[in-house]
Amino acid sequence: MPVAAITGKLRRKIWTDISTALGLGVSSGYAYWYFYYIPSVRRRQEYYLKLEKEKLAAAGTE
Amino acid sequence: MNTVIVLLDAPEPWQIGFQDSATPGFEGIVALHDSILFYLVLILVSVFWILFAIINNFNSTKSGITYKYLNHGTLLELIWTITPALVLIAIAFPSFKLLYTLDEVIDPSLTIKVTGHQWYWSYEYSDMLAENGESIEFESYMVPESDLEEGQLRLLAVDSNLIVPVNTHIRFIVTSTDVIHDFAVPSLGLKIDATPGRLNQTSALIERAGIFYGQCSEICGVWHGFMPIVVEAVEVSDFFAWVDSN
Repeated sequence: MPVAAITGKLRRKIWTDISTALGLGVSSGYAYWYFYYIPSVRRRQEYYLKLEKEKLAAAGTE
Repeated sequence: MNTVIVLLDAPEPWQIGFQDSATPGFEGIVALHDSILFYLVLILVSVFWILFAIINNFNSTKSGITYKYLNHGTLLELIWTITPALVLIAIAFPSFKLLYTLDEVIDPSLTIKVTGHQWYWSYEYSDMLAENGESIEFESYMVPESDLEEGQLRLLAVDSNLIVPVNTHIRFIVTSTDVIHDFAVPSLGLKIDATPGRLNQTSALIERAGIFYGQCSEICGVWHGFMPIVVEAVEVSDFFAWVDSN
């Protein structure tokens, strides 16, 4: 029994695969941005503010 | 007894990330790196998903002859050309913006001439005159391991630090007397070639006092690894006190 030609697989799957890939990629990018990058920037800013306050307090007591 | 802990702006063993920034320029470089990392994560995850899908869908156990009919795909080629182009454009614009911003040297209050030699650095404060009427200049050599004192960093400590004031626009004029060196201090976002016969310039606005370590970053001969750079940023009043003492 001859094997039927297997065609159209690319056409049928391409939008699913590409949109899944880009969807997962963009989601991961935003996950990095909002759950790692922004909290780390906030922590750093808070630390610098703390240093600045300590510096001002020290200058005030001198 | 009081214990004073001095945290140095120097690399740490097994460090992966950046050193702490001390200039707006380096803040910008780190911010650019972090925003490019967004696209890096996007590309990494997308490519791995496509790889997974290809291995899964075109597996030989599913069909031994699937690949036979896959020899051309205009739509696919359009997508894999246009998508990276858009990503490159998204990266290129902030990158150029930062590059040209860093190149600007606007109205510096202090100019320091930095000269690379085999194998040490020399510094000249062209705006400041010493007692003999000549500009303040000195050489800066690495402290050999046998002479290190407690707290000094091996291969990074020098005998004479480059003293600079904080919150001041400083211009560095960089050159060399022999071969190409490179004046690089990560925390300050400085990295510029010292080329014989040529004056390169860069600038920094140091926002906090500290001791910032760097190294020659252009292979310049056998002692290339032994000509570190130490920039000591002090308050403006302390800087002038230091100038007076010279």
